Amino acid sequence: MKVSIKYLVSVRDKTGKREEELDFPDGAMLKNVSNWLQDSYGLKLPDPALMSTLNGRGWNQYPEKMSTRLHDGDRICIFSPISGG
Amino acid sequence: MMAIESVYSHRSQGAEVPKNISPPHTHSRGFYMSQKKFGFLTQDELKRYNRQIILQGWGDDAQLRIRESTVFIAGVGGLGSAASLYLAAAGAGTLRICDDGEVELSNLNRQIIHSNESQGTKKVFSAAERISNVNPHVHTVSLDRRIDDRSISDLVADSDIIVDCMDNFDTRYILNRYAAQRGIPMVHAGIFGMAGQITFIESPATPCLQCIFPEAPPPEVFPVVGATVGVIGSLEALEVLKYLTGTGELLKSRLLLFEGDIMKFEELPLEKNPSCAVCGGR
Repeated sequence: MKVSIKYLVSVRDKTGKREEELDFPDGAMLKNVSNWLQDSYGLKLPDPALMSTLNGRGWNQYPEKMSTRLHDGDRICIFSPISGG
Repeated sequence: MMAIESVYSHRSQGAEVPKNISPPHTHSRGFYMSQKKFGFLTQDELKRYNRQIILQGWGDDAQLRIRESTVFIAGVGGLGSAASLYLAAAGAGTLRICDDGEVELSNLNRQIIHSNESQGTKKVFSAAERISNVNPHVHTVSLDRRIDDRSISDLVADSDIIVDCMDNFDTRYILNRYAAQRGIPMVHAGIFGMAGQITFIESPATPCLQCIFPEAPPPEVFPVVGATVGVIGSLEALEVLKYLTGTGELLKSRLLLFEGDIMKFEELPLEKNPSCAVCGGR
């Protein structure tokens, strides 16, 4: 199944790209994405300094947390909250 | 009620004070004060605001609502400079500007409401003077105070909307809690370098700030290009004006991210957090 990931603001500096589409096997969960991100970019998620959303909701808002199952077409977004003013 | 010691209320001499001002209204809570009668615009106002009055869906009524509004500007740094100047130019009735800092040389690359000459003076007084130069009709209340859980009620007072122009999440969470408790809408924004974020919060109808960002990012000295706060602060002013006038579609339950280095905007849908410590997902 296809899952799209966007890396925004300073996260883009770590990945070197703004978005990509990944192929995960059926039954994959958020922790599989997390492992892939750590292996590929050294991004360790969840991270309190980063905002990670799945289809607009924070990862930690899903009751199953990192065991939340993914579906074809899911959209993940990772960015750093901005605090300056 | 706790006394606010450092309040300075400013309306320029010579400004034409509108007549038929209605008593301070309660928060508009989504009906945009449409049922109130606000008198008439003066000839000076009709001319000054003509280019926005002729906007479809705006007209005299919307302009009068802006004139009768009270807006709380939390912080007159980078974001607050742009937001308050555009709100002043648009004819906001009262701007309650709050900041306990002084103007420093290192502020001047981005805090365009302050000038070279205002170094060493309190930001709220520097800002009030500039606002009166931009538009003498605006009533400015300068609040030289730190925002905390004890002071916030007196500082926000009867404001219709809060504009978050802060530079740290700790104070933002104070604003958010108060706004959520009192049902006051709040425009949140932040910047970093050439990037920015903005959303319109009206809890419980929308996620509150803590639904979106449950934990504060670590404090840091942030790089910033002045034009970035110009973009995001201007968007904050636009959201306030849309809210006050009831025009357009507000940035509710959506986070707009701006990446100025590659000149892209990204809109993220937002959902309430049922276990939010502030709004509990109400």
